Amino acid sequence: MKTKKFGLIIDSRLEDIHKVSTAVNNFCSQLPLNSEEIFGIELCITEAVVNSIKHAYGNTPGNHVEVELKVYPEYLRIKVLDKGLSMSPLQLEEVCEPFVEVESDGVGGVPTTGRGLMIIANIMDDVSYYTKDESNALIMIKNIRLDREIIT
Amino acid sequence: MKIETKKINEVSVVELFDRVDASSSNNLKEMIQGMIDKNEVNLLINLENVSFIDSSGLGTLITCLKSINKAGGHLKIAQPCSNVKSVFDMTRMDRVFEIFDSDEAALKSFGPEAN
Repeated sequence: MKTKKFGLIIDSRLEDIHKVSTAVNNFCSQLPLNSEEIFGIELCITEAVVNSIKHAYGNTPGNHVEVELKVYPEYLRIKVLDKGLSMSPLQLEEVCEPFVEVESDGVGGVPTTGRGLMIIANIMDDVSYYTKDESNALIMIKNIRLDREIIT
Repeated sequence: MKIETKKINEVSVVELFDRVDASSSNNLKEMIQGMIDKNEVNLLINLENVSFIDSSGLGTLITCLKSINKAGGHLKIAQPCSNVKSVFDMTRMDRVFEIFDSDEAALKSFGPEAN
């Protein structure tokens, strides 16, 4: 038995984000997922890749961001890999920080950035992050119910 | 991202298409700033034809909202599809933006002076 999987490497340029989105969408469309689930997976992968480009590589082109998606009978395992600056261990724990009370702060106090990890944490069932051999990996797990055989 | 604009009385309607994301949202920011510079500060952004928005796109809309508010105007959102609306909801930005199911309802909310 072989696990169904998808892999893609892009250059660290925001202009190339659509390549990831299109490829992920095409791959996920072959799985028995509904449009809401596909949207969520595409969104989380996009957020993770943008995070690597902006924060790990400081928007500098010429570096690689790798996306790997493996399909298991009960879940999807998504890995986004870069070799840039590592995220602070606190960042994953502070994903809810932008939740501000608008009534008290007014619109002026609403942050314009910092929601990517919050979105990932909201959609995914498990999120972890590690750095090993100069590579940073964001691992996202999405539990799914597959109504038909997808292991080939 | 394709952008179309039209004027309905005193409200500028900005219709966005396809994706509002990290690679496309700067165009929107520049265009909205241009409208503010021309004193067009009552804006309705229609998202009916937007299939994807990420946190960068959302951040751009927040920047535009702040700029419009600072200029004394109003920015409202109309007709996001359920997936796009879910991004507003999960980030609690549904509390920041006025979001309407139709252009008509959104236009009406600008009040008689704008209509």
